[in-house]
Amino acid sequence: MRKLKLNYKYQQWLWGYIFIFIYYLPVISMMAAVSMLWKWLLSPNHGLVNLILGFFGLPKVNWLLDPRWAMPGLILMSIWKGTGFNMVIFLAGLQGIPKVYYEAAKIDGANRWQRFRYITLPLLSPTTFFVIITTMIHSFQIFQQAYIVTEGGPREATTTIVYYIYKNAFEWFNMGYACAQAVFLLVILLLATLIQMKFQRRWVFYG
Amino acid sequence: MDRIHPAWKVIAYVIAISIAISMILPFLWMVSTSLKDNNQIFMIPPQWIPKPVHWENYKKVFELLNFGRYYLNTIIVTAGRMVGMFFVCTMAGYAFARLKFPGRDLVVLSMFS
Repeated sequence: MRKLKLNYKYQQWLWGYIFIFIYYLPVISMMAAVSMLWKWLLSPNHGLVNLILGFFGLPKVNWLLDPRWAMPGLILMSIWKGTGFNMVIFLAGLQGIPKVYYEAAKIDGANRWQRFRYITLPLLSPTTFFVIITTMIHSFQIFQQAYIVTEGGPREATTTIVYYIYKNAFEWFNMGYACAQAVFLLVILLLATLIQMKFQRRWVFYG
Repeated sequence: MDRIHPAWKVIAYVIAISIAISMILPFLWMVSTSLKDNNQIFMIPPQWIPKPVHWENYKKVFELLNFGRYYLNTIIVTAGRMVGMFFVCTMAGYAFARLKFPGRDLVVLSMFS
């Protein structure tokens, strides 16, 4: 019986790591290769995404050539790539919550939802804040997706600010204008971060 | 007292497994495509296990490029970066964790960007 239980625990542990490995796989692959891969996956007739959509009976989407769908395609790809990283951060945050709090709350008769709402959420708020800030900053700086997958996209639908700066600097050689834009982007990012920091006092709880 | 209803567990597993499949499918697709020739790539419906398997794509990897040289360059970059990161990051981490100075949080957050 005891051996069986041990075996069960081991299986649980093993499957946990298999899931972490699968979820983290996109993070450790480099963005340029992932972009090339997704350019292929999102191709209208032979792409895997459209094949799966077809499998569920949904209409084909002309991902990278339709101005309405180019950006959703890039977003899909960025989510696919970013999930694992943020998952590991959340995992660390969850493991950092001491078990004592839950035991105390159980003794006080808190149910599952209350324990989630009043222990997990507040103690996880610094992690959530970190994830929000880093994801925001990385999203502002999206470049490789636009550069490799769509090259600014159909009718500039996916020209992000960093890609525009790159084009100004190295394609049209407006170096001064590009540098001014880069500085402006830095200011905007700092402002956005400052605003987030101002609001964090309302909801981030440092235990 | 408050065991999770088995139905919820099943739902949770279904969600976790379907996301895991969507995470790994592109990689399997990449591996599968790496074993195809140009005709097989554009086949509809697609073959997950190509028939016949074209191993020569992997042979080309080593023949066409100066592969050893590129890997050596990568290793040099990796080693240099790791040594540099180790020194700078441990010192910066110590500063931010143990020392308190005005504007510390702002500096931390601007380093992320």
